[in-house]
Amino acid sequence: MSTSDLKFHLLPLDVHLEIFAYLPPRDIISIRQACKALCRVTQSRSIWAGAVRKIMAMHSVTEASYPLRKLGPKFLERLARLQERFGDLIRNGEGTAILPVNSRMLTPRLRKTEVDRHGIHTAGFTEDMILLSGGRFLLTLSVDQFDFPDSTLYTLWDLGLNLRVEPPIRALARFLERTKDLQVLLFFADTEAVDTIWAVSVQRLRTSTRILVHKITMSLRPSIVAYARHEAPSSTSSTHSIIALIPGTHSIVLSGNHDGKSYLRIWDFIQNRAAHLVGPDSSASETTNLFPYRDCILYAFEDRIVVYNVPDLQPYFADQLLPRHSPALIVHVEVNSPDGFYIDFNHSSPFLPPLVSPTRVLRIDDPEVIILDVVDNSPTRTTVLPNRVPIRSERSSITITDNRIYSALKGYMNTCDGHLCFLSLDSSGASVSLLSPEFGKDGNTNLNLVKVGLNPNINSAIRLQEISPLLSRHCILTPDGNIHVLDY
Amino acid sequence: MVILITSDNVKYVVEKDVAELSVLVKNMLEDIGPSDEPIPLHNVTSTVFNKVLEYCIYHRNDPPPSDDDEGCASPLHKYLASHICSEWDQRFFDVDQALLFDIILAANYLDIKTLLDDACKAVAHLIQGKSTEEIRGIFNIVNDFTPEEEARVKKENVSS
Repeated sequence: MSTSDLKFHLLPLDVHLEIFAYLPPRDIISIRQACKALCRVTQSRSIWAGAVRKIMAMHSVTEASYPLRKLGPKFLERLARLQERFGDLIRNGEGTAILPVNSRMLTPRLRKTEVDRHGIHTAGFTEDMILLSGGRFLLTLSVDQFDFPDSTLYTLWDLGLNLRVEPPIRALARFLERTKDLQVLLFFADTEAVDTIWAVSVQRLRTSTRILVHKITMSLRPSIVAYARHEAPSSTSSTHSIIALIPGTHSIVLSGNHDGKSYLRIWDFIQNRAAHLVGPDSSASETTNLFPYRDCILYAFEDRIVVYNVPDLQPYFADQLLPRHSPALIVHVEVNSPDGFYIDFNHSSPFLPPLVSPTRVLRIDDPEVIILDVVDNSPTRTTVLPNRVPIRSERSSITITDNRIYSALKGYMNTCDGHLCFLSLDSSGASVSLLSPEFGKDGNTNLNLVKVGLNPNINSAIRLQEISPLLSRHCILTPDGNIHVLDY
Repeated sequence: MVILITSDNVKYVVEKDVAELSVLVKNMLEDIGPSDEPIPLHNVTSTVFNKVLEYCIYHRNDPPPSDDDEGCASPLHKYLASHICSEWDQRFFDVDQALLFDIILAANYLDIKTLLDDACKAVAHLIQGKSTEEIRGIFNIVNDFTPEEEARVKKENVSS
């Protein structure tokens, strides 16, 4: 085969697919417009299925949310491009407000069958909500002081995929949990069981924090059941405890404070095994954050990051005293401002130059951002107890010149098209910002921020809000308990 | 040692572990069993095979690619790892386009997954962030749309 005159647009389809697998949708669209042959190639279903699959892998979205096999090439293409679209809306709309193209409201009314099944008459007043990564499923927690005074009603909603033709929003499943004062903190798809989604809620009591896990099974008739619960001690009900999931596991990490001492509790809710990690002395009001990283946990305090190995977990029985584990390493961080805080930076842009490591912890430390690269010291991936802390931190910093960045970073964080995306709320309403780091060759990093208002047109205040850049979607809970779903 | 013959009748004597980086060759060797028979590579010229061989010799001791990377949970981590191209690879793929495409086709035919991946990555790198006009320029593509068709394609593909 003499191929010296071979041209790019004449390569075989499987080679094109292979090449396009390394490109973001934006570039594939540029290729599409080059000539007729490439225009045809870029309509291929496998390209867009691949692009969606890549997004799903990066954002832990399972096929329960994006049913690849049921979507045609046009829908797959739209789904793959929605976050670019959201990013473009923000970038092109700086200083103005963007308007939703589709605005819907959840109808809280119970169906007759639901009234019979759960023995209640109303769907209650929605107090809390959480959006599953992928943006399609929403879980709400509602209460009613007359109809079910000591319980909380869990409802799972299917909001659709923002594919222009949306069926009305339906409640897929409900569950009446006989516990009150709950707050839902984690909502994630199981990485192994594709039909399973987990919800983790907490009830803060005076002397303890109770963790409740609910299992949601997605099938023809989705269901919610109470799965497991755990109790960790705490000295004040106002403790700012944080909950995180160790990625790829069923272990939850909860931070807490007991008698002036900080601690972490790890709990595997499937095997009901736990461990107790002793933290440094700390006041209950100190701002902390938690970053599970491989088989370590980074527990960030003001001027230090305490690193633990994840120890072997012990079978857990109520009121059992768990063995104490101490930190394996403490990394001191030189900070300037006492009200700074830490965020993780795991979601970096895959389309920018690669990072040194897959994990970065940022200290937002007015007026600069301190970047701590979590670097793996060990050349092998096999880690053996007790020495499982292959971590050192490499410090560099960025100076924040735009003071809006500081406040944006405090807001609700997400990612959009490889950029950090923040949802914020101030007197003028909801707004969304994109923060794009630029890594220069000279080692300097610049941060660019664009901010745009979201104009949901709902004539009401906002009590809680969530966004899903993947679906270009914004959910709002208003003080009257209504939920608005706005697609941009 | 394995004897390979390219489409232009050039004979190569290659060490077995290097030759077996090609799944095609590996399967053929398994099929014919121990033998000194040369294996013909109908779709590869010696010019291209020289490059392929250079790659295989350099990468002969690399761990085999695995789909399932245990102990490294984050897909992003995998993604980044797959994106880091060594300096050697960058220099290796710094060739004219026709040869680059020939390497891709040879890797496809010989079934050398890592070479195919790396070469496709190199092509993707040429495209990344470029406009349609720039892409036409890079690959010498003739715009065969009529002005109406072009306007329509453009209109259909604006993101907002």
